[in-house]
Amino acid sequence: MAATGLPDEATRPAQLELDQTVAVLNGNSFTVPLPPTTGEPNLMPLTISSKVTAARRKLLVRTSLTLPALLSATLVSTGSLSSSASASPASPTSGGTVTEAIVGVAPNYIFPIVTPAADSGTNLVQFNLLMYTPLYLVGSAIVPQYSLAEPPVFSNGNRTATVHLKAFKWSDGSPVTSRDVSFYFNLVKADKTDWAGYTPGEFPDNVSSITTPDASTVVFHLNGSYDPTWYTDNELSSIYAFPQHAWDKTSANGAVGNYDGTAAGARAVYKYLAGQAQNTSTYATSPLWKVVDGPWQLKSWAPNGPDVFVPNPDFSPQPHISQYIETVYTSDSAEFNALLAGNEINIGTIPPQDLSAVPRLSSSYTLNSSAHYQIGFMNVNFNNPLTGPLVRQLYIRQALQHVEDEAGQVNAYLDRGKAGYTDYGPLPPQPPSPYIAAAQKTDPYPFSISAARSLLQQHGWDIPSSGAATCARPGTAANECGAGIKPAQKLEFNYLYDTGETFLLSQMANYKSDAAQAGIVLNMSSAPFSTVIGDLTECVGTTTCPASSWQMGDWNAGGYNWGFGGPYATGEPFTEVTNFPSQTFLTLLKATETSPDPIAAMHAYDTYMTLNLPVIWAPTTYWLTVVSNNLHGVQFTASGYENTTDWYFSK
Amino acid sequence: MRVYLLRRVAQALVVLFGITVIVFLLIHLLPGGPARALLGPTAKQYQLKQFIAENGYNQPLFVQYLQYLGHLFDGDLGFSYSYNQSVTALLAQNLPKSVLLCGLAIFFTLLIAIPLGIFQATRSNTVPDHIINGSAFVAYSMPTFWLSTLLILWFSVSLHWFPSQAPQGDLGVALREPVAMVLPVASLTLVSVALFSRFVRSSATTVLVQDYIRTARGKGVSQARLMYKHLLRNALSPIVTLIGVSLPWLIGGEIVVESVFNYPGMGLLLWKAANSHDYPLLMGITLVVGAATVVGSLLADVLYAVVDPRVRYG
Repeated sequence: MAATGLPDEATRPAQLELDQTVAVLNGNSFTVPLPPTTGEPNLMPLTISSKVTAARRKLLVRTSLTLPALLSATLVSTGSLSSSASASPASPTSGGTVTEAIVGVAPNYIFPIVTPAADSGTNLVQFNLLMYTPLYLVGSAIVPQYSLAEPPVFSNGNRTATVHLKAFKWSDGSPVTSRDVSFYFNLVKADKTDWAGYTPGEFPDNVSSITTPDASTVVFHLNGSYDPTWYTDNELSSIYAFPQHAWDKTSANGAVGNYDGTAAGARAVYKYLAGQAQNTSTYATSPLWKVVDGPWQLKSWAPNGPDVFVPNPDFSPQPHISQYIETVYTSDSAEFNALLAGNEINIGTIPPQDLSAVPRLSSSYTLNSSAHYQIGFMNVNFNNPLTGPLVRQLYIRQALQHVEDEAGQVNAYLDRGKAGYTDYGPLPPQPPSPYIAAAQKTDPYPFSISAARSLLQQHGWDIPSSGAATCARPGTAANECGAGIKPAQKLEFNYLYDTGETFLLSQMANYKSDAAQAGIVLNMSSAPFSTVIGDLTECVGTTTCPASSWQMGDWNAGGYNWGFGGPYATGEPFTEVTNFPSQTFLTLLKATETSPDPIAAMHAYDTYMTLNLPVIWAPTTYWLTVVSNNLHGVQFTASGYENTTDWYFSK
Repeated sequence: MRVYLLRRVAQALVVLFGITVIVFLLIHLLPGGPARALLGPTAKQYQLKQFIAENGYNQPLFVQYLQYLGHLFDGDLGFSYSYNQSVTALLAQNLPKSVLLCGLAIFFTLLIAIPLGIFQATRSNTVPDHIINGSAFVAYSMPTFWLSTLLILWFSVSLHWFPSQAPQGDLGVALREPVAMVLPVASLTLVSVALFSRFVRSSATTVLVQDYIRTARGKGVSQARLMYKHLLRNALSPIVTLIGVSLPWLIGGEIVVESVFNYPGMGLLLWKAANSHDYPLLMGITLVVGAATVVGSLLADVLYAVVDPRVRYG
């Protein structure tokens, strides 16, 4: 292996220690807390329903990818757990302004029924969730202080979910009622395809009806029996309350009514509100957007930032700080320069490749390293006419996995594990969760070029001293190459990845080098992210692909390929971005949504996917953040939600 | 002159039309398409199809182009789906900031480069000339991002004289915080001075050996009058050309400096539009910069006639 400078296979540690790591800031060593080995304290996380979760996922992907720091401090977490950025004084002081750096495009869509085009992390985490509170904010568990309702009660064989609202108020003093939830439901149902979080068959399709027996109770009558955990984490968590008394209108000068009672009326209301959301210049002034039930109200908004928020006086508990500002940076380098210069940034993001430069920052910052609910993988095209038959053979996918030196790459390119970690399966490996099966906890296909060669040779491949292996024994017997593989066919793939990520460049070079030693030739090429994701998702949802279609590839949105809203990470990425031809996968996936035993269902799903390799698993990265030392209470969640009401300054 | 101008304007319109056709085609030939680029890898198939249909990207290219032209004639440059704003609004926000940044850079460049070039020409092949030449080559060969980073490290991180980022907010903020404009303007100016001064020196050196200069000297014309009446005006022709061709830069912004100093202008807008395959925004920016190019070229030709009476158009 060593062509790219990694340690020899035999001497490399099987897996890195990830209990904690040490970073150096301003010349001083300190411990960076990493994900704990047990569950998440109930402080942070958010669950963004599959709907919202979908938004979050994309957000995670796009943000990091376009401008790595984009997620900025906001999305980092020390494991699933919250970790304090700095030692916390005994008592919080009130007041002060927190300025957080956002890298990329400023938040630009205020209406929480976010369209697919506006579905970004900044719009979700750094905009909507600051002003609007979902029924349930879920990370590893429901986060009570940021959830509108008490935990749901499932009954009738898990066909009914009853939700009791807590005593929240809108910023105009009106109570948040069940009518506000039904108003939201009616709008989403009438215009579900305009909602980024909509997946056909799921919410709101899986709700037959809702009833509101009193002002604080909402009953969801489902069209089947669903796993309560999945339904809460992925469906109920995507539901908000909308201020019906202020928003149920179809024009600016029209009176508020009950237009949402009919589908046509609901569409008209949605159209009006979505239209207003396209008028960004009124975000801070429109009476519509002044009515919020989240902790913050928008004070001022500018296309390129800064965006200024002040506390919603009717939210409890009130934030300790008196103002929250999001400053937008065009690139992570611009943000890092600002941090270097000591600009007034309280929370900023550090791209993994800049970790070594962190000691240059002022001693007034503390570095935090944390994991998000995310996974890393390389994609293979099962439907390419030329190479599809190759990767349809499990032994070839196993060989491809055996030559992926995850631990070595993490050690060599991710600062010996301070900036990233290994991933052997479809569930986020960090923070730990009860859903991760034993198969994913230990690498089932450890790095071994000899194992890869052996697998290929056992199946009739000749491996030359250099160049691609060739199929010497075509056929479908156990010791032959496999169905669809032609005599003398070469074990060779075109491999497309996106430019710009330092870690990815190194990883690809290493993978190519190691694969070549097993007779697997990877013809690497790179392109901008927008091109890569277009190409690598070309044949998803179809059974055939042209010969010119992609064969293998990877996009690396800042160190990961897919982000989830919580640990109950369903198989959505593998239905959306792969063409893995497995009915078993779909069956197991469905079971994770409907089984009364979520842990067993997730274990079965995880084990199957880990071992059967719908993709080639690959490392992913931590989120690295700096927080000014005088700011306390900052908790980083694996879900990405920011606990802004807990932040406070020390004197 | 009037006929010439009319002819050039007509040519400019044809060129602009050609630009829209070519750019429209090129943009639509970009691999990947706008749907995935904008909606990302997590977008569902139905969302991709819906996005394509809603934006008319499933129609034949010529139909899309005709629709675009139709909207253009109505003054509608389209709606940026990545910024959730009209293209016109985005241009209105970003263009003045780029004009300010690049305009200041051009102003200070001329302020420094013209005297510097004349000075070098009058002291050609002397030690000062060689020193300035060498410095100019160093500055000109230095990548802008590198120079900008050095300036930040020196004047912002180490000395704390200037902020590391340009003013945040609209044009008004930029005007109210001139100190924050110093480093970005200086970055552009230093590189441009090197280029412009070379042109001035070369042109002035040529003019200095002309007969009319020698005659003027022989008639006892003062050095100052010789410089500013006889030398400068004749040596400025190439500068006029440079200013003309700088107009697109003025309008189009400067991606690198805007990025390093976190100053969202036209350059960054274009870069982000390209990254997200934001077709309406790409077309809008291209159209504006294309128009600036044509106008800049036309202006250069006209100014030529103004500064050099020997040039006449008929």
